[in-house]
Amino acid sequence: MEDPEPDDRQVKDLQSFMETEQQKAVIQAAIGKLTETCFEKCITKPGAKLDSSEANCIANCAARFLDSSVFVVSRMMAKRQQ
Amino acid sequence: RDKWLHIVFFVDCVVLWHRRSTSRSWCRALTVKMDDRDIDTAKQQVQGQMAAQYIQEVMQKVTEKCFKLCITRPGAKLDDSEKVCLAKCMDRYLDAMQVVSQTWAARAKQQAGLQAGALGDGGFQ
Repeated sequence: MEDPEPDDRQVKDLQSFMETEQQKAVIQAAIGKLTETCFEKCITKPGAKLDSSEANCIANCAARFLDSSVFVVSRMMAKRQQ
Repeated sequence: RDKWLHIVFFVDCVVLWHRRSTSRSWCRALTVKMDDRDIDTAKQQVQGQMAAQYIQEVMQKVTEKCFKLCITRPGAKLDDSEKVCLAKCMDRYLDAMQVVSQTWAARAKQQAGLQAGALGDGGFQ
């Protein structure tokens, strides 16, 4: 029996599936890296639970990291235009 | 069976594609031989493999951080206080990951709202 023609629909479906999975993986990796960084900054003695100062520290750490990232990118783009 | 071999190759191919280690034409050739049900099965296996990989990475990071925090003077074996410290450290690390995920999600939502506003959509849906 002859091989059937390549199915464009299947290939497109697969491409969109892979794009979604890749996006998921990128976000998971970013969250993983951020957790690593902020855990190191904020948690010096692991207790029985996360106390409020530790939780605040981590939330601030993550938010400030994202702000720093935006800052770096926009300043870099400004420099390139000079 | 022949079909299962195709699914195994397909899953490997897709995982490699994700890692940019292989070309799309190789995966495309495999889709030719598979029906939609096979492809759905294969997709689930891909998601399973990627999840397993992710968990492995997290465990590596946790071990590294918690070893650093908890094992200050390596002895002849792990003593009880070191084990207790490792357990607490692991749990707090996962708590920390929760907080980071929530912060990320809140920021993403904020960004989406800003973009919608900029496009004249009037903000949150």
